[in-house]
Amino acid sequence: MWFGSSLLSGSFNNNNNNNNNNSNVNNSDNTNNNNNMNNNNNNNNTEGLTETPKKNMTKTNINDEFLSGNGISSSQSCDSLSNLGDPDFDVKSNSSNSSSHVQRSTGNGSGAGGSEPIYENIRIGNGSISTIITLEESTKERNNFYTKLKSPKAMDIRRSLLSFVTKFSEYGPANYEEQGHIIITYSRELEHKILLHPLWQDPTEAELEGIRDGIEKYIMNKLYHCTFFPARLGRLEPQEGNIVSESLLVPTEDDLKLYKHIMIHQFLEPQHFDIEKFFTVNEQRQNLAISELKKMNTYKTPRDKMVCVYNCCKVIFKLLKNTNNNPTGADEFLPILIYVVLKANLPMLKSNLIYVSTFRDQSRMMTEIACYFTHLVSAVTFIENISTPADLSIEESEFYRLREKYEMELPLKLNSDMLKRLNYKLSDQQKSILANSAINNTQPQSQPQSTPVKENNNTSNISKSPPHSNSKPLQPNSRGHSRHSSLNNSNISSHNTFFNENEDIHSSCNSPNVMAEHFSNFSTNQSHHYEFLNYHSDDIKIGQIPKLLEDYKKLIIENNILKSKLNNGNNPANNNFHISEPSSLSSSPALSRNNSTTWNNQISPNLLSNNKSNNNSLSSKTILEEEQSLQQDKKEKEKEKEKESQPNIIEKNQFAESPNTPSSLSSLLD
Amino acid sequence: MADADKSFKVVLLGEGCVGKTSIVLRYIQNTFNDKHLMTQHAGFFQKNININGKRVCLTIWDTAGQERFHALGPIYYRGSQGALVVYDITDNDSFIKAKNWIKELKTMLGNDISLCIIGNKCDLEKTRVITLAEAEAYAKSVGAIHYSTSAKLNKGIEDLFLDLTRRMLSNVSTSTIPSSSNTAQTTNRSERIPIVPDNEPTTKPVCC
Repeated sequence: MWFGSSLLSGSFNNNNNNNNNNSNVNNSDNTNNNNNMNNNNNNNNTEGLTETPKKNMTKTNINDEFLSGNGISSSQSCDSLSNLGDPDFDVKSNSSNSSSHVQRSTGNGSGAGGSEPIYENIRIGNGSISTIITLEESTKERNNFYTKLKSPKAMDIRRSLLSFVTKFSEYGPANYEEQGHIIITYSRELEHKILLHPLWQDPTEAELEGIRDGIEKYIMNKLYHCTFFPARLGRLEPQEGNIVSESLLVPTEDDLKLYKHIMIHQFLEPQHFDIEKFFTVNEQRQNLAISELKKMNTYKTPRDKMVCVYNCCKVIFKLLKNTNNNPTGADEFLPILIYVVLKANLPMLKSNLIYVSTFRDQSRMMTEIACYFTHLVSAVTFIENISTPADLSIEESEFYRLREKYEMELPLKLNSDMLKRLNYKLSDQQKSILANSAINNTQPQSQPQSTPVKENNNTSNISKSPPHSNSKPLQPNSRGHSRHSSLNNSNISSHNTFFNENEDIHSSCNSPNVMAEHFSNFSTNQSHHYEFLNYHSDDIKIGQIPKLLEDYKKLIIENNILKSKLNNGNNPANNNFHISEPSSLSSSPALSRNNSTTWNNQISPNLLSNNKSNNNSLSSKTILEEEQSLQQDKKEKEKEKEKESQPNIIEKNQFAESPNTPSSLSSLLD
Repeated sequence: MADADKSFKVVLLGEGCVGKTSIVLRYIQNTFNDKHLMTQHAGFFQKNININGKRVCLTIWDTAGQERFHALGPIYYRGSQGALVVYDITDNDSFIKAKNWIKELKTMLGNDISLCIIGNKCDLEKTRVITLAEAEAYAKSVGAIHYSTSAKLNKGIEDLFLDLTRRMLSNVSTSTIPSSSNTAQTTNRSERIPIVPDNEPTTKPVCC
């Protein structure tokens, strides 16, 4: 097959770079990168460089330890990820910390300290060579592998890798399974060939792991853009380095499905999993675990993604150890992990799981990090299967009540990107779903939609959050995670992270239809919506007051969102985002409700004045332009659609939309 | 590769509170003192042992025993060579649960997996509900081996793991595939790509 690359088997001399000279090789990795390489492999250089700054310290420090015979140190991660293994639990530990940690741990173990006793303590088991390999070891060996790869004698290996990667990115299959099969088959073949190569003779188990990781890293870094689904959707350009900006990725359908599902079940609290005792004093840990898990999206290789999971789990161990004196097993661990996954609600989680399990060689999934990855898989499976309260410690009625509530609040919580994305995806057959959700939005008053406390949260966050989200517009982790951030995102007309421009345009093309549907829903449902609209003060009963209050608060929130959107639309600095406006507006319940009220002409004086002030904030020019263009548009459409059965709705719709979507409409007309 | 290490995945199943984790912790901790404890992390244990000059690495995967997590079982026991199904001899429900696990493992993994049924807490002989004869008869009927252990008194645990390892070793040697790492590969391959012929592992040994 085409990917079976041919390796030139020349005669090789044994190279003295084997086994124990690793430290020299290792150091040269950082310094001599550019000297060794020829034109073929510039890529390797850059890769090496990206990780160099962080690993430098660690490596030089742990060399001694590993040279003394492949011992086992307590398993701490000192990958490029933050080191969580520190006993003092330093949240902001970095590379310098991890190096100091190595020293500390060796000191702890020996008691006497010094360099000699180290390996007595870290060696484990009866055999001289152990199959237990720590992350440090494999990281180090992976770098060793790269160093050796750069030597002129490894030219054929390099060529093979390069040609495989080039061919794959050009002619590789699109199907996930085939991709996985080809890459893993090739990796195994290459590994086999490497082991016959004099440079890599008689590798220890750790070196073998390093070779495998090295191959994986090389291939997956280069092929990330055509293998990781969100990267494919985001049309990511091939780029070097192991880090990828999350903002370039586009979640898949499954991702969104899971994301939405988790969003609906955000009401679940520790006590519903019988783990409340772990969370009374450990909120910081919980957040740390969440943030560790979220790093998963930023790394490219399956291994590094698994390390993120592992780091997240390590925080949970600490949490368990702090709270629980009994030996802890999976009985306690898994529910906590489930809870953390639930609260983290990582975008693209599903894609990550599929990616790792497809492109990580299954025969290597027996290690500890693989175990925790498996725990994550099962946690996600559990979450996906939550449909009834049967598996939770929660009253049945309570469960359904809360879920219904969260489901109805969903459009408020999802950020505008998500909604747009759903719009886009919904194009045809799912329009009905959107319509349903619109109906849900318009008639939530049949039940108290949310508790006053939560509403207060919302309002308070509106006031304080925009600066925050403005300062970090590129942090998709935080967005949509809570209702706060989602409101933030609708406040600023949000830099679009889940989207590329093409899709934006699609979605805005779709939006007229959606608007129409929205509108028809509102015209039929508006009587349910503001049920107190026609009330006199005598009509209101005491029992209705909370509801009235809620309605009122909701109105204010929506009004605020609307205002800020209008302001943003006026701001020339935000011109870039205009295209993304219409769909998000059309799908936001906030806007639609105001539409219905303006159309109805039954609004209270307060609201009217609000709307007026909004309009006043627009420059009169734009309004004039719009009206003109709108009228033209209308006429044209009337001509076109004379024979159609429902021209009214479109007309009305346009009219209703006009005061609210000035910027977007004008930009569309431009 | 210089050493012909074998590596086995053993999965721990059983109801919550029957002492699954305690058994493994006892086993791991007794051989190594605390300083040497490799992973005190929840849910994963690893231990190297020497049997007849062969080095074997046992990786023991703990699972959550609560009923609500029962459906997640397959995610864990997939690809494992051994299973420890633990029950509490003073608790009839836990024995029923253990029987369910055994049944499930038999259907899902057939004879590829070495099954152990473990009656834990045998220090509580007075309150025993499941008689030894009953449990052993059941174990025999399903091709499993029954062990009585007490994590509290450290009774029967060392033997249990040694015996299990021997059985897994013989299981591997009787099967056609030479080494455990290759076993993992074949299952992986056949799972993922049905097109690949079965003889492929022999043409591509990794390193041995």
